[in-house]
Amino acid sequence: MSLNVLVVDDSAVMRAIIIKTLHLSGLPIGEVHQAANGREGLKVLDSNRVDLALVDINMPDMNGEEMLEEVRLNPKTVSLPVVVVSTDGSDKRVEMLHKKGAEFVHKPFTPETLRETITKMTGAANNNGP
Amino acid sequence: MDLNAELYQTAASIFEEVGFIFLMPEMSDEQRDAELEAAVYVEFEGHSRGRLVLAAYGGLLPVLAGNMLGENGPISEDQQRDALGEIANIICGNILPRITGTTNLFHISAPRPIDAKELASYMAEPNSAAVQLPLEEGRADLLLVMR
Repeated sequence: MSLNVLVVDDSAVMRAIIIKTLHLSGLPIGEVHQAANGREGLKVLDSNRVDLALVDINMPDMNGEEMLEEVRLNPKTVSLPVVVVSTDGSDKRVEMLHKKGAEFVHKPFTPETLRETITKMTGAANNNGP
Repeated sequence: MDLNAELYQTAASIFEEVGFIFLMPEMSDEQRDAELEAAVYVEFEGHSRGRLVLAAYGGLLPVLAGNMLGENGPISEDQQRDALGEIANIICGNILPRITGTTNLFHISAPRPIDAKELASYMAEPNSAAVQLPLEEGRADLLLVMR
């Protein structure tokens, strides 16, 4: 089954890089939705079936941590797999994100890193594998 | 710790991994005299405060954005500035743990574009590290201020 993905980042270039890397990862990617901040991301989640969210931390209006808190408060998205993709990757921040049920991928990242993290969270099988 | 060397190595690695632009062994006269295309800065706070300034010269900007987007066609000026800002953000997020360790929490601001006048005033301020990278296409200047 393919994964419908939401990519939330205030940089359009970084969203394009993440989407390109997702397609290179070998994972079965379905619909890809985009949002420029946490608030827009929540609206997308409200009106679409999304299996996985890739979220930046530092964004205007609503940052990634605030969005993650809202996601965990909503019964509809409480168990949504969330991967935070950011440059802000101190041990403390990663620990805080793990407590909120999110994984962390540090920028820059490779298709392999993204695939391993997403597979760990979703159990998604590779496109190329059995 | 040699902060100039840390900044140089971190920036070279990010340009290579994210922008697919490689470091040249030495700076040519053409690169040294190249014109400014765009500049951005990001501020950070947490364990320490400061800013990282990144300026692109001599044809680096469109090539960088094109490589990052994987497009050969025309890239808008907005996309080019966005690409430079992301590179600054990633360099900042990678240099700070190299200098201060991985346990310290930082908040890095969104990248902000600056003009030539602002760039000159930042470059004239006392800094923690300042480097120039001769790249395959053009040149990148970086300045790190930590308080």
